[in-house]
Amino acid sequence: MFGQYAGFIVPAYVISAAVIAGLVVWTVLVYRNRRTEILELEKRGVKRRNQKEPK
Amino acid sequence: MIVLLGRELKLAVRAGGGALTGVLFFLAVVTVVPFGVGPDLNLLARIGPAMLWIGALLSMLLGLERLFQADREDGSLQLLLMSDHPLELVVLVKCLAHWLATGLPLIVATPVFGLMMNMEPALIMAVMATLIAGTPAITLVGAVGAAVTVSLARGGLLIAILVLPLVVPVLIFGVTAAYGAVEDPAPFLPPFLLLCAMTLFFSVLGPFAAAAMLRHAAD
Amino acid sequence: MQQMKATAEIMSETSIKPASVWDYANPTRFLGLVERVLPAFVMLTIVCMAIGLWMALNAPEDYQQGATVQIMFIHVPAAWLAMMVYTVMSISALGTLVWRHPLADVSLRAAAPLGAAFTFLALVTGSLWGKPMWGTWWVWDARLTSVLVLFIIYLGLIALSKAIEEPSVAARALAIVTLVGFINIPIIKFSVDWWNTLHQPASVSRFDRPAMDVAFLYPLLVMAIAYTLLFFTLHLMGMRNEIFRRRIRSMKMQSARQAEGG
Repeated sequence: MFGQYAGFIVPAYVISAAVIAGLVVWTVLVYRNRRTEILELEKRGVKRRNQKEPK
Repeated sequence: MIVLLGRELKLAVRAGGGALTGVLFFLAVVTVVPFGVGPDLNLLARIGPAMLWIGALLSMLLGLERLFQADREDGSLQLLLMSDHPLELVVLVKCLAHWLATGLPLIVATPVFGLMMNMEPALIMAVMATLIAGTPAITLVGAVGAAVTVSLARGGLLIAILVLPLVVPVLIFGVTAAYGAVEDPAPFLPPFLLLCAMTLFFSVLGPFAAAAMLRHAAD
Repeated sequence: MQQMKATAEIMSETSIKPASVWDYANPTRFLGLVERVLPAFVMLTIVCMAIGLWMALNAPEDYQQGATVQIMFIHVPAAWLAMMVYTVMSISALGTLVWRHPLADVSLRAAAPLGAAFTFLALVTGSLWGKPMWGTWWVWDARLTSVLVLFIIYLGLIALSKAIEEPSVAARALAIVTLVGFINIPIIKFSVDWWNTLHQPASVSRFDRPAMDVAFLYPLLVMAIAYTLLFFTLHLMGMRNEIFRRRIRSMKMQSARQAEGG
């Protein structure tokens, strides 16, 4: 489909996909880690300064 | 203001010779170039203006760390913040003193290094002129980087990274003007005037941004 | 579903209609907004990206550039985003310095890595497009150099954000440096007009008529919208992560205080 330029077009798309996928994965992983950490801290009874009691 | 300028100059010249270190670093860069590039005198003469500019630029970037740190460490930064004079003016004066102590020695050393690079006298003069017009811009915009990293232990490298993008046009126009002064078809005045314009622009932007940062950073 | 419930346990519910960005100055309220809005953003991004890619890969060959024009569909949006993200960061910087919006710093920090990634993609795809087109991987012309400078500015800002401990000092520093660096954006935009060197001049935003055939223009615009949606989705998620990070930090400080004082 790309003929002679495939050697340039394919890496361009692959690298773009890889970087974008990397961003998504990184963002989601950080979210999960931090959410877990917050839940654990709350379970241990640590409160933020003006937080109401958790339900 | 004059008192402040005098104080800054005395400190800059006395304290461990920051000026001398700058010149020595400049010498190091210029010395290293022939080892890397080869001793071909024609080649050295051709890249001479660029290498002198790069050496001066790196040397000034290294020296920026000292712009505010000494004051912060001994508490005089707080005093400057509380003084009657507007902080922007204080920053401008400090930049002037810093340039006189750090940049001017580099410019004075340029003829010697220019000869080491086998440059002809006209070209050396052109480089000096562009350095005089352009190195203040480096100090002024560097003040922003120095103010931002004043509370960091080893902010010197970070200053270089932060300031480099803004200083690249200064380098480009400085070198272009230097070449333009001696090569016939290449123009001298447009890049040189742009260089002066940048210095003037940064003499406003630099102190304002640096002062905005220092008001919060002096803790 | 479980994710959303778990996150909702952390935050209180909100139900007030938004009137301005100041309604979401409270991080908790903002997180509520994110939870409501994020699924739609993710869906839209995926759909748009899919359509765009389909259109791009089915675009005809340009008579001058051959099939390499397909790189344009991922290069130009990345470059546009690189500049747009910096503009978002600059507005956030104004938010910190001028309007003192509490989430402005959060927005800036979340956007910086994304902007750096898009700039990186612009440089890499541009290089891969340039080699078959002009015969060289890199050239120091005005646009490429200023985009490289933009990349360095992004990296410098990320380094700065990790270097300064004190949050309010860091916020101010990031905001000031971002604004000072904004001067690079018009340079990038107009560099191809001011210096007539290698990179091609603007052909989309000319106000008379775009100099590009619709067969290429439409896929390009769809991909641009897809990239923009992608940024905003990741940006919202990133802001959420940053708010969490601050909460963890303050909770840990609080627990240290509790351990000491009892």
